[in-house]
Amino acid sequence: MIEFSHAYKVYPGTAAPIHALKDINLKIEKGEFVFLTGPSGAGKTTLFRLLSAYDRPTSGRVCVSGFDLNELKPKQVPFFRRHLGVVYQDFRLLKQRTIFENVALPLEVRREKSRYIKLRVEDVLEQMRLSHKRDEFPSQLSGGEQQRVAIARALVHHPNVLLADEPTGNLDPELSRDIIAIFDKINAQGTTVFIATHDHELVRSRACRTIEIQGGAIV
Amino acid sequence: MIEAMSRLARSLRFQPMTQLTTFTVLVASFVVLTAAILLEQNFASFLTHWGREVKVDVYLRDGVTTDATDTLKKTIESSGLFSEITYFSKDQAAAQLEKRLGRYLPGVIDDLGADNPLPASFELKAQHGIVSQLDYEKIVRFVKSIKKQTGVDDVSYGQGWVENYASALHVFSLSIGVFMLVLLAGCIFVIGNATGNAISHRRDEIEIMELFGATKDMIIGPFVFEGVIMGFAASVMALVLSYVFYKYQFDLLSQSLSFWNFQSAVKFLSLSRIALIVTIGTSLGGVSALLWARRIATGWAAAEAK
Repeated sequence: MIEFSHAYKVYPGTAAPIHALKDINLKIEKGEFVFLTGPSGAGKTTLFRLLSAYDRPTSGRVCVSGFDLNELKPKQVPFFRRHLGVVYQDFRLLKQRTIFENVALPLEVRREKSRYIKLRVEDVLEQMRLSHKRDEFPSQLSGGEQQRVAIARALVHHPNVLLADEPTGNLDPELSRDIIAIFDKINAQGTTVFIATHDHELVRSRACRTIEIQGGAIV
Repeated sequence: MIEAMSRLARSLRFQPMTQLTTFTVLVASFVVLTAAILLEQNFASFLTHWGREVKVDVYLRDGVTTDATDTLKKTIESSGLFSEITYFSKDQAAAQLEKRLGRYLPGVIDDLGADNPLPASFELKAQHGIVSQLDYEKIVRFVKSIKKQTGVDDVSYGQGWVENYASALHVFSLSIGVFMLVLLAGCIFVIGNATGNAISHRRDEIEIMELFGATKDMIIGPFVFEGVIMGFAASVMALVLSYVFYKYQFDLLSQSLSFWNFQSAVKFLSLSRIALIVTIGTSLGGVSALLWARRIATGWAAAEAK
């Protein structure tokens, strides 16, 4: 499902090149629940950028959901991204759209019929216990609710892989546990879940595979 | 289409001042454009009125044969440039002169006796007058060729006046053309700039759309749609305002310039010109939005840009 082999990422720095990722070898099977941990600046976000085709490795191979990202042509990138669901620490909700419209976005991008969009978004909002907020704007919601909306948006199009970059970074421990419980449910439905976090407490409380990255290399 | 409409509604809701400013500047530009076309149309029709009066006189040599005169007439007819061809013999020319000057110089023709110095001639009335540089060039070419014909002594068409008139017409058309081009370039910049602002304002939205798999066309499409709607609405509004202003000025001027038959001489834009302005406005909106949207979007679509 996700495979890195000898992947390197080097950015040109002002004084010297920055080695953001060094010789990453990693395999995550379909339906796995995996944590990626490491301190800030360890390379977690760079690794996620490569996974979502926002960047390409300087060398080595990255394959996700059957796509070899090195071979991906620019025009194929949007179609590859439709297989992913992505959740960010800062939620990245569109302030000018209602909750319903935010969640509907991935389906609109896929040109789904409006009737299907309505049914599917209502279903996901209900799963996230957000039905009553459907016509509100993100600024009217709490942090935990906003993160649930972001998760709903990442799930609505049935992605093969769910990537979450510090999804609990802005939430208190109780809300963090709620969010992880939601990811558990998603994983139970067969979706591969890959979460980047530096919250060791959260990782320790769960018995699942953990990959640690430090200084751009897996340890 | 529905997505584009809802994005347009959102844009109006969240950027009302930017949209209003762009719309106002565009309406003002299109009003000036409409005024320029209106001026060009009416001034051209005014000049055409003068141009229609152009006459060409072909003077014949003394003793020219009837056959040569007939051949000349056929040549003039075959040119297709003249609506009226009138032949005046030497005697008819003398009779005309008598008619015109007889009151002031009685017996002037009788004094000439059998030695009539007036030439026979053809008086030609230009079919469409001279309403363009092309018409002027056709007349000049005709005059040069007819001068070489057997029996032709001289040709007169008020050369000095016609030349000045033709060059005035040419300069006027050229100036209006250049002015319109500058104005249209300004409109492209205004709409493009508004699109650029809208894109910067919706940067988050575009990034998230890219993240969930929107193609470049999906991202650019609604901006182009906005440009089209903006161009269409601004051109229609400009036409409405221009018509109101025209009606107001028309009533005032038809009273003060009634002696000049102002009412029949000055007209509002024809339907085809109205359609042309709306088409120009709409296409300009779409094209300029497309130019700006394409340029800016590639900067963010990092993966696509590689």
